[in-house]
Amino acid sequence: METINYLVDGLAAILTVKNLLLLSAGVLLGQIIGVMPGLGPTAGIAILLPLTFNADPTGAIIMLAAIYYGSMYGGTITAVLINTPGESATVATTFDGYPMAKKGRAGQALVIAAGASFMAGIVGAVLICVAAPLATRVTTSFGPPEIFLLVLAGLLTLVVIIDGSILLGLLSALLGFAIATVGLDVGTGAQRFTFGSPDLIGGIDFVPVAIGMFGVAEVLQALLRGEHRGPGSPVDSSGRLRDIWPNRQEVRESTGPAARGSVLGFFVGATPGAGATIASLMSYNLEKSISKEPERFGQGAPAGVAGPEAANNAAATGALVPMLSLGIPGSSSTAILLGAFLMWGLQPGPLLMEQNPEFAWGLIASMFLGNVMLLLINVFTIPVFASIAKVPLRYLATPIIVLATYGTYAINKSVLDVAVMLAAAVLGLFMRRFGMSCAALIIALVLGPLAEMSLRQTLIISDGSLGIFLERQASVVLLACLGAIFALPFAISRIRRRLSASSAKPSETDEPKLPTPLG
Amino acid sequence: MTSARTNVASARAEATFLGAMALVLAWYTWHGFQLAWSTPSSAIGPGLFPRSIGVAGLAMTLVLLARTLAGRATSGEDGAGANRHWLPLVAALVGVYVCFVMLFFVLGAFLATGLFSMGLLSVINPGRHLLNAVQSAGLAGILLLLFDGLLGTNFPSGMFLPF
Repeated sequence: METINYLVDGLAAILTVKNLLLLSAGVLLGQIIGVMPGLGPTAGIAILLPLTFNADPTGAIIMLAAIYYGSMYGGTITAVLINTPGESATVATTFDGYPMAKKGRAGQALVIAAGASFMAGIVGAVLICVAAPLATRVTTSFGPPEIFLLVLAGLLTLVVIIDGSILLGLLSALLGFAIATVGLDVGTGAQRFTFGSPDLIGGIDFVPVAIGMFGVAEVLQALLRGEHRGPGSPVDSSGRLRDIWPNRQEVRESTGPAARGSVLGFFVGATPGAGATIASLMSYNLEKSISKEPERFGQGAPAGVAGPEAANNAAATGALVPMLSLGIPGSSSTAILLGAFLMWGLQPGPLLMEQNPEFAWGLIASMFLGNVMLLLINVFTIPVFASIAKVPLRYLATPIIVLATYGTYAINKSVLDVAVMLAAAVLGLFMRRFGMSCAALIIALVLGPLAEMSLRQTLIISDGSLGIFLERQASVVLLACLGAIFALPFAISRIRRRLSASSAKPSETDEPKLPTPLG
Repeated sequence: MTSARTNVASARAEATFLGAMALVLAWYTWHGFQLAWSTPSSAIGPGLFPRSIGVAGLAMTLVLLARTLAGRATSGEDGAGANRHWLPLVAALVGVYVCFVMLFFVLGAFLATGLFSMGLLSVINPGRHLLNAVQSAGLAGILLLLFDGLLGTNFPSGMFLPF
């Protein structure tokens, strides 16, 4: 009851014309930023932070939070339409969102993503109100061993779901880890692979690599295939723009995954360091594992869009829990939000809700309104964004390459970033050609520093003994989950094979094509 | 006959790629071994991760290379269908892009973007010079306005124009 009172008070505090305008502007700007290759939530919040300097703290934080979840959805738009995830959290959305767009169902994929995001946003906001204390209690017991295992679980999930060779998937992930080791070693301060260049001390940023591998490489590959000569575009635009609504079957197929993804994403997001990327990948693997038709995944299955989309948006909300209640940012975006809090003299942590309840609950209440606005704006703008699909590749190629270059340069105003982006584009072309996974490389690049830091801390705690993973209850549970992630697809495949074999006995010549755990 | 020749070429290309990757990873591993495994206080040194990654990556690459040489090419999404001009085309596109980036700092964002766009469009959308020119100018103007004007990126100024 107290929670509801706080929420009503928070809602009353934000219901001013100015705050509503800031909320709408934040959602819209976030979406525009998210659509730009490479400019995800982190860059979006950082770039637009100065715009909020004239607003009061409540209005400013509401706007920044709106930019945060607006840009999360903006990344989805590019993931679906041009196979370019705005940030790592939407990589999983490309697996089925882009194939749906290629089939001429870009609008439907975006509506499914918007609906799933809305559901996740509302579920996330409710869970923050109801279960934040519980989630906080669970995550505070997580130490470096558990975080390291969570990172491994995220990567293993990815390698398991990659179509093709596990060895190539692992090699791709190792390449990502290798790139992540460039720069200053956080533990000792030693420089690694910098070769005396001050530009490399900060390491190789994920954004230029992602823009190169997913944005530029995709366009170059299409040009190399000669797709610009045809009337088509990277996306089949045969569907009418007015036909953006999913059919009943697609809605039915999406509802369950969106609900599961919302809950899963929230709790994974609430775990410091885990974040939206792991949540979306776990959701994708979960949906693929429990699906009756896993072979449809990767071919444009609505569940493959709804699950990860809900998970990454719920994780974005969940990531606010440790930040608000513990003062620990769960992701790079929430780290910038934390900086904004401090800038306005607010110290996130256990005392925030006690000392500034109207502020903390105002932020939570704004999530309800923000998600309603996001849904409305999305529905009205989907035809606008989906219309990109009607433009032939020959007109899209140059803008995408130039936009990618501008976006890359804008992050740090560094020509090295542009060079990294180009190198990543070329590497991405070769990796695609020889069956390697760009997604695995990117995720490993993002999670690499966290993996190294948490393993380092783990071994410091245990005096170098790996036995610590078996001594802590939470670690043991996570190890079991890790084993299950790896074994589940194989087990399901084996059960299916047995079931199919027994049902196929009467007609041995009519052998069914069975899905493998790897696709 | 043509298909067999394509497969051989594809396997050779894959072997070359994996060979190059093995060399890069060997170099990475060697550098990893130059970094300390542990610190004087027995904590993890900066070399632990690079060494582990390098050794594991090199081992995997060599296994994949051996499999490719034994005739079990992995054939990625473009493997079989890649045309024999693939590598020269990649080199040409990279060359054009490098020129664009260099011009970016010499001529400024607006002119460099316009020229790059016009050049690329004249190849991929030939014969429509007016349309290409309009798109190139529009693209350069809109993006410059967005990044330089609204987002305050401050692109380097050019020799002939201040933007």
